[in-house]
Parts: sequence; C-alpha cells; structure tokens
Amino acid sequence: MKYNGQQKINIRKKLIEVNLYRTVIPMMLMSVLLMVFIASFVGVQINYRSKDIINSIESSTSRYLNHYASSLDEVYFSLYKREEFSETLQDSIRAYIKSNAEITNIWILDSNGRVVAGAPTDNEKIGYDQSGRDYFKALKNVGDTYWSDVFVSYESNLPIVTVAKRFEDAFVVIRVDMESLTDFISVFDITENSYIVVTDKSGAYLAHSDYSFVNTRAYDPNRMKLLANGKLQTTYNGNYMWAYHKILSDTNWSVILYQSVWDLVIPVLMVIGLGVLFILVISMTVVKSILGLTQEISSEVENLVSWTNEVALGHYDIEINSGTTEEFETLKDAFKSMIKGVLTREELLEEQREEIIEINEGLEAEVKKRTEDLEKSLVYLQNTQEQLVQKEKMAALGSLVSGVAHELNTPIGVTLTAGSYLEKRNKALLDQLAEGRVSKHALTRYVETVNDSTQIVLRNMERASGLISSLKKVAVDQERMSREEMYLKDIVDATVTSLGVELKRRNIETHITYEGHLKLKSYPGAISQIIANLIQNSLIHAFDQQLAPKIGIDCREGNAGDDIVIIYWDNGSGIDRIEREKVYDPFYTTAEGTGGTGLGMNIVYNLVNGLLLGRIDYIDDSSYGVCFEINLPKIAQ
Amino acid sequence: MRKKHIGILLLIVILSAYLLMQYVNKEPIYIGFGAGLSGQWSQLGVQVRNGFLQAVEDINAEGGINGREVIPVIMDDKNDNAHTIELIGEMDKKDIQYFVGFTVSSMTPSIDQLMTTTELMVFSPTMSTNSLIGIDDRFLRVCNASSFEAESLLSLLSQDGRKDVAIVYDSSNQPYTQPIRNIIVGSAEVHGLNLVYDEEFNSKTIKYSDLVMRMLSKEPEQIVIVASGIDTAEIAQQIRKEGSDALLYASAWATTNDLLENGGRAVNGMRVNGLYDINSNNPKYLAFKSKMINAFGDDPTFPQIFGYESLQIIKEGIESADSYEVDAVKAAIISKGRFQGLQNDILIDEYGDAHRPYYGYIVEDGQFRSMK
Repeated sequence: MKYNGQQKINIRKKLIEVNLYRTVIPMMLMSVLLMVFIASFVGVQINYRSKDIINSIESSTSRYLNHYASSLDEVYFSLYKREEFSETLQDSIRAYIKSNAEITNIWILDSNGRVVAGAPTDNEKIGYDQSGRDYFKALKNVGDTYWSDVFVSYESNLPIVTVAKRFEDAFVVIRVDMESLTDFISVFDITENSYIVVTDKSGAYLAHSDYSFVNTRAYDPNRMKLLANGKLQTTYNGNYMWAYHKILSDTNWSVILYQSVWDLVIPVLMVIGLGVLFILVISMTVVKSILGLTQEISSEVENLVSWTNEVALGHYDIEINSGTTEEFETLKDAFKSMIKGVLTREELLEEQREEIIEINEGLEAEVKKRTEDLEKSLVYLQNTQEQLVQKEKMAALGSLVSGVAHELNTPIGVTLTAGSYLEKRNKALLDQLAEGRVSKHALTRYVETVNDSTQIVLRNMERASGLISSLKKVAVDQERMSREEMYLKDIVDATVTSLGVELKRRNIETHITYEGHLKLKSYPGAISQIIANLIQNSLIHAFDQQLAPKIGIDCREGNAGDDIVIIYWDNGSGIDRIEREKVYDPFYTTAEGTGGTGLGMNIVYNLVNGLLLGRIDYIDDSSYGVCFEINLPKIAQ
Repeated sequence: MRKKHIGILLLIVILSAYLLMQYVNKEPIYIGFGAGLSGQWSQLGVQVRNGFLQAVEDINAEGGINGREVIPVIMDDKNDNAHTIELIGEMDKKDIQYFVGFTVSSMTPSIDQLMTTTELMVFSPTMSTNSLIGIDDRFLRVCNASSFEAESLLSLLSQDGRKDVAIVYDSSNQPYTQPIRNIIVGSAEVHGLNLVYDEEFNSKTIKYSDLVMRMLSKEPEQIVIVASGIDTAEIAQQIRKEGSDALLYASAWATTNDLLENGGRAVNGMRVNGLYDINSNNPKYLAFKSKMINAFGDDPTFPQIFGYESLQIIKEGIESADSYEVDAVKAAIISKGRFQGLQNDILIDEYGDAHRPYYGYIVEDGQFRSMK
C-alpha cells in the first residue's frame, strides 16, 4: 500500500512476515533438513549394522556346517574303522546319533553304494542300493564332501539335508535336521519382522526365522538377484525389506538377511515424527502466539485510532479500557496525558482565540483606516499621475509648439520683412508722389518690388498656413480621439513632420517606408501620439553617443491581413535587458532630471494595448538600438 | 456461469469414474493354492506349487489376467483333511474365487467340504480320484481320473507276456489307489493276466520287508505298486534285496525324483505310467523347463507341468468369460473344452474332467526313459 507516495508497512502483515516467514518457517525447514540428515545417518548406520550381522551369520553358519563335516570323519575313523562287528557298529552309530540330537540318520555305504550300516532304523535298510542318490553320483574322489539340497525325511517327514563324504572304502552319510539350523540362526538379534534365511543351491529354505518356510520347502524368490547383486531392496513376505546376501563357500548355500525397513525405520520415523510433532506444536504455539499478539496489537491500534478519531471530533470524554500489553498501557497513559494536554491547550487556545479575535478586530479597524489612507494616497497618486501625464502631454505640446513656432517663425519673419520693406517702399512712393517726382522707372521698380514682396508674403503665408493646417489636424485628432478612416502614411508623416525641427536640429536622419496603402479605421490621435512618444524617447535617450543618428519607421500589412505592423527603430544606445522588463512601467525612466517623466512608454503601451487592442513587443536585434514591433488591427473597436 | 459449473462438475465426475475404473481394473486377482507342502508326500505338493508359482510369474510378466495382477495365496494342507477344513474357513475370509489344489486324492473329503461350504472354483492339478468323476460341480482338474490310468497300466502289463501279477497299493491315498487296484484286479483275466497277490497297505505304518516277503512268497512275475515314489522305491529296494527279478510297475503317482533317488539300482527296469512326455520338444515346454531349472534347480516332471497348466487354464477361462463370476469362468472353460498344454492339448469335458494321454516310461540308469 502506498501513502503519500511512500510504501507503508502494515504492522500485522509485518509481524506475521517477520515471525512466521522469517522465523517459524525457516526453523521448520531447518528442522526438516536436520531430520533428513538424521534419517540419512541412521540409514548408513543400519547398512553397516546389517553387513556386520550378515558377516556374523555367515561365519557362524560355516562353523555350524563344519561341525557336521567333521562328524563324517569321526564316524568313519572313530566308529566304522574301529568296530569290527556290524552289530557293535550299529550300536555305536545309534549312540552317536543320540549324542547329536540334530543328526537324524547316519549311513555307511560301501563303494558300490549299498548300505552296510545305518541307524537309527532297524536293519531293514541294510543292503539298500543308494547309487541313485545325488551324493553317490557327486562324490567322485576320496576326500570329497557333499551337501545335498533340502528334502523331506521319509521317517520324520521333516526337512533335512544330507552331508556325505567319500573315503577310500566307504561313503559316510549323515542326515541333519535343519530345524537345528533355524534354532542356530535365531540367536542373532534382528527386528520382529526381519528374517535370517539359509537356502540350498536351488534356493529352497534350509533355515528361516519363520520355520514354516522350511517346513513347506518354499524357495527364496530373491536368491538369483542377490547372487548377482549381493544387496537388494525388495518386498518379502509382505514387508518392504533390505536384503543382504552371502554365499557359504563350502556348500554354495546362501545366507540372506532380510531387514525389515519398517522395523528399522519406524523407530527413526517415530523419533522424526515426534520431532516433527514437537516442531509443529512449538510452531503452532508460536504461530498462535504471533497471531494472538498480532490480533492484540491490531485491536489496540484500532482502539487507539478510534479514540484518536473521537478526540479529533472533540470527544474527550472517552472510555479507554485496560489491556495486558505493557507498551500499549504506556501508550494509553500517554494518550490520556495527551488528551489532558490537548484539553488544557484547547482551553488556552480558546483564550488565545478570543484574544486574537480582539486583536483581529483592532487590526481590521487599523486595516480599514490604512485602507482608507491608501485609497486617499491612491487617489492622490492617480491625480499626480494624471498631472504628470498632463505634464508629459504639455511637454510634448511644448515641444510641438516650439517646433511649430520655429517653423512658422521663418515665413512669418520673411512676411514681416517683406511687409516692412513694402511699407517702407510705399512710404517712399507716397513721399515721391507727394513730391511729385514719381518717375516711370521708379514706379516700375515699385510695382516690381510690390509684386516681389507680395510673392514672398504669399509664398511664406502659404507655407505657414500648411504648417498650421497640419498642427490643427494633429491637435484636433488628439483632442477628439475619435475613430475614423485614414491612411497610416498621413498620420505618420504628419507626426514626423511636426517633430521635424528637433530632428533636423539634432541632425537625425529618418527612414520611413510603407508597403501598400495601409488604410485603417482607427484612432489617428493615438497612433500619432505613439509615434511621437517613440521619437521623443529616442531623442531623449538614444543618441548621446551617436554621431550619425537614425530613426526608422517601417509600415506594412500584417500576415493575417487584418492588421498592420509598424516597426519603429533607431540606431541609438538601445535598452539593456533589465531595463526592457521595466520599460513600460509607469514613471520608470533612465533620464531623470533631463526632462523624462517615465510615462512616455507607459502611454504608448496603454494606447497600443488598451485603446487600439494591439500589441507592442521589443525586438531584440543587435543591428538596431531599439526596435519595437507594433501590431494594430486595421479596424479598431 | 452455470453452464461452466456444470461442465466442471461433469469433468470431475468423468475423471473420478475413470480413476475408479482404473482402480477396479488394477485390483489384483487372488488365487488360492493348497497342497501338502510338508510331511508325507510333500514332494508332490512342493513340485506342483513350484509349477503353479512359475505360472503366476509368467502370467504377471505378460500383464496379468485382463491386466490384473495375480497374487497367489499359498496354503500347506499337509495332506490332512482335518487341517484343511480349518484352512478353508480361513480362506473363505480372503477375497479368493479360484483355487488350485489339492494334490493327492486322499484330500477328496476336503473337496467335498469346499463344494458345500464355499463358492470357490477348484482346479486340481493332480487329484485323479474316480469319486469326483462325472459330477457337474465347481471342481475341475487337469489330470486324468485314475480309472483311465488303470487301463493304461493294464496295457503295459500285457506287453511282456508274463502272466503272474501281484498288486500292492497304499490305502492312505485310497481314493486314488483303490480304483486302479479295482480295475486291474477286475480286468486282469480279460487281459490274460493271473493275479497271484493283492494287498492293501498303509504307508504310514507298514514294515515293507514283511509285505515284500508275503508277496514274493507267491512268486509273482510282475508286481504293480500303486504308491508314492518314495514308498514305491522302498518296496522295490526290498524286492531286489530279497533277490527277486520280477518286473516292477508303478503308477503315475510314483513318477517323481523320489523314486529314482531312493530306488537306486533297485528301480532299474521299472515300468511306470507316465503323465508327461519326457522327450517333448514343444517350445512351450522347453521354455518352461528352462525356467524351472533356473528357478528351482530340477527338471520339471508332471507335478510342475500340471500345476502350471492348471493356472493357465483358469486364466484362459477368466479371459474368455464375460465376468469374473465363478460360474461364468467355469462355463467358459467347459465351453472352450480344448486347451494347449505345455506338451499337448488337454481336453476338459462337460464335468470338468481332463482327458490327456499317458506315456510309458522305463527306468534306466537312474532316469525315466520313454518305452519304445
């Protein structure tokens, strides 16, 4: 969640994340890994232990079998070779069997395989031909020992094996009850569902932890695989087993240890299970505590938020209940203190508010008074501004009048001189007439003089009349500020002409160009004043350092076709960047004390933007001193 | 939205049904097996069991029966009817419909018990008792009835030209031995034979030297022994020990290694009623023989063959039937009637009795050999 652009933490989620994801789950994972390690370690130990057991069984079984192999020698040398009479031999054999409970039969055969002695049966079998027996066929050499596969005793109906040895003049055959081997292997300590088995060469059981397997002459299903691999994981008698195999070298019998995986693993699994259970219980307890704590914290935070909202609404009379978390109790005490503090401060604020209201009221009165003063000052200033404007107008008028007077001075002076000369000539003529000495020549000269003087007077009067007419036109327009159709050229030329004396006096070259007829329906007085003020500004500010001063006015139609563009420029000192920003401000002047009022450009700005609804822009062009572009609509409103 | 939910529900139902079908189809088939695996005559039971187990292995290796694994449930009946009745109670609790057993005819009372107290279909590999012949029940077998064997033995007896015949038979397996003895005794004259001695004995109590002494006193030229291999060997040993050179005959029951091992040279020349072709070159038999030698170390004889064929016929019956019900399977077997055995065809008649050829053997150098 984002709040004010920053990621915010949810305490509840954070608590769960920190405690559950960063503590409980890693702890559980670590525990699981530890248990896997323990299980793996135990598996290795079981493997070692199983190998020890199978090796022990192998060596013990070999000793067990050797015992019967040596019995063959005992029977042959101690009984057969010593007893001369068959009856005595039979008794000795019976006695031997009696002293070896696991031996069921002993037979002594002649070299043709016929029974010459045997026990414990009666003499019925003496003379039986045993050449069909496997051992008779197998024992080719003297000294060879033979171990048969398991078979059922005809007499006892129990599984037995035959061990036989060939001697020089006889075969000694002993039959051994295999139940004794089962008893023998049962001493090894294995788990309840594990088995130790011994099989013959065909895989039939000779001994088995469960004797019924031997009794039913079952065959081991895994012997062939074990012969190839030595070790196997398999299902045996319904249980999952680890099978270990050893071959008995004398008999080629197999010793197999079936270790019940479950018997071995269940205790480990139980330990692991208990461990997992313990971890789960601990984890659940921790999780429960975390969730409880989280819930409590959330609840307390929600309460605090609720109380805070109540306080925010000004309800200070809230009941803050007690909890069990020390920190929150501290927070609640602090909250209570805060409420008290807020209450105290609110009362103080109320007092201060009332004071402020009083102060405000005083201030309002003061402001009102000051406002009135300011309004008065403003009126005064406006009046002053008007006066200054008027003064500026008067200054402009003064300049205009001075120029006009200068212009008029010459023709009037010439006219006056011509008149005076004519008066003087008239008086001389009258005197001559009175004296009667008017000659034709004199009269002709007089007439010529009168004619010349009249011509001079007329010419100069016409000139003066033209000047006055121009001035009148400007004066009348300025006075009326009325809108009328006109040609821009007429207004601009008249304005420049009106300032011509000063321009000439300052030896300023003017460049005025027009593109097209530029007919307007606008306020000629305003346009004239704009031009006049711009020229006046150039005269005052621009040409102190300029030896060849120039002023230019370029007029043309605007791109839109419904406006005109007047480019006013000079080659004076220009206006620096800072001054440009203030150039239209009223009363801003750089020529204070030299006759500048600081209103000229302000008037220009107001006329262009206000009356004429046009636009004036300062053009930053280094090839000029100043350059203003004035856009005016052809038809003013 | 509702259509989408119905679609998902339908998909779940179809998937569940499919998985259930898979589960049902994958359920194993438990097949009971009972034989005397310990005690007297257990060699026969062990050999039948080994053949049966080989069949289980082969069937499962080929994908089971209709894709279902065969799981054998082996029981040692000890060839004891009293013990077997207890086992039947236990077996009834398990999910078994088909049963292969028993192996000796003396277990006939147990068959009766199975027919009356269970719904099992029983398929016997080696019970040839005449008492179960021609009965329309749930008992079927892969071996001939003993009456057929008697005819075969008579045929052997008639071949040599010797007239004086003695017969001894083991009463401990009377359902098997008695019919043979009765037929031989009853038909001896017809076959030109002269019965000079006839004695029933109990192999569990008999002293063979006395039996043989009594028999040889009648100077028989041919002696028929209807007993197990080991008992036949004992009697033969006694006969030869007493110096008699009478021609010896044994029933099919004796055609096990016990006869050869225990008989030694005493059984050389013995003629035996064989139940399988020693010289068979049938590829199925040769493959079977190879597997049996590899697994159990011995050449298979008739018990292994019959044990194997019993389960194979049950398999064919189940696969041919339209259900797993016992009656349907039995009907399928009867309907089919002819099955390819390991060596030759086996005919099963409408009563579930088998008809297959006999083979005359003679023991030479400790081996069964075919008679020419």
